Amino acid sequence: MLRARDNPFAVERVLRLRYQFCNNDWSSLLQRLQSLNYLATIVGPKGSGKTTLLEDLAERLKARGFRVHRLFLNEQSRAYPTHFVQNLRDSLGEHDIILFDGCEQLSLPAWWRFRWETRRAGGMIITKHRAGRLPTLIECRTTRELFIELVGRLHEPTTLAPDTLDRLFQKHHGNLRDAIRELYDLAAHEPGCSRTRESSDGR
Amino acid sequence: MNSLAIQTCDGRTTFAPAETIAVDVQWELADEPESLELRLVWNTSGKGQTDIGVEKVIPLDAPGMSGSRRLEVDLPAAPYSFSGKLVSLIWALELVAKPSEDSCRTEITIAPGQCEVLLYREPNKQTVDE
Repeated sequence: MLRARDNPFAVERVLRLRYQFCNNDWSSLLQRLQSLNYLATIVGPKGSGKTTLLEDLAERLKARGFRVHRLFLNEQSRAYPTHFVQNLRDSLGEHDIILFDGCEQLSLPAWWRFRWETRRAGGMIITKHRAGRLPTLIECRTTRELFIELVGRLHEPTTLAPDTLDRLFQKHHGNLRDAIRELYDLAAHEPGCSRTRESSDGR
Repeated sequence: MNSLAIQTCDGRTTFAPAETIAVDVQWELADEPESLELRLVWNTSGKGQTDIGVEKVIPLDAPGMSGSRRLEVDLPAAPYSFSGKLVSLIWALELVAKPSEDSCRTEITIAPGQCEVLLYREPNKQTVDE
């Protein structure tokens, strides 16, 4: 049995992984964002890195002088963000940008209300599973190679068989978050998976 | 270059609950900090979201750009340091300079017998059924 703190797939380690582009880079992404007047959608299925990209984008927008306001909705928390809007509505200006993760949780009428109430913001970037509501900035996608690379960063040199990683990638339909969560369980029950970390830490 | 260091006086990193420990801290900073503080903190690690907490903050008066101090820290009676397969609770001492946010961290164990409680059976170790 492996201690949770030694598990190479523990959440805090996974969260340290930053967004990795497949066919893009920060320069071109920011150029496109500017060309879209900072009104854009990050599109992608679950576990494809939308939230991670949004987090990384926030830092770059702050560096460009924007005040970043983050809003997160999910299936467990999908009520209209009344407090968020009330707190911001009267102070929004051209240097304010709203990063709205999980935008599809709002119905279309609620979305239009939200857009109206935050219309003074200098920009809004939303994440959705499908394109729509705002022009697409980027489509996040995952590949088997990306999965293997990320696993390698968490567990290097990995003792996990390529077949295992292939199977997990297929099983979770490319949802890397869920695939890595299953790797956590595998590592917890198979101490061999933790060989590298234990030896490197001298534990 | 900024450097901060924490070391327990006797070199131990495992302690009994409610023990009072002596900690040596050292710092050398490029700019004079507005404040320097030793914190006793905990965090969880594992499959779920990480929880964190600050148990105690010991501010250092007029720290200056460099120096060293010996501080006494009363450790809490609970919770103990523990690990299961899903979650670990980790105690640590942190020395933090502000506003630079330079910091250093030393993980410690607080548990009866000075041994992390394991929530699963392992030969020759303290065990509690999960």
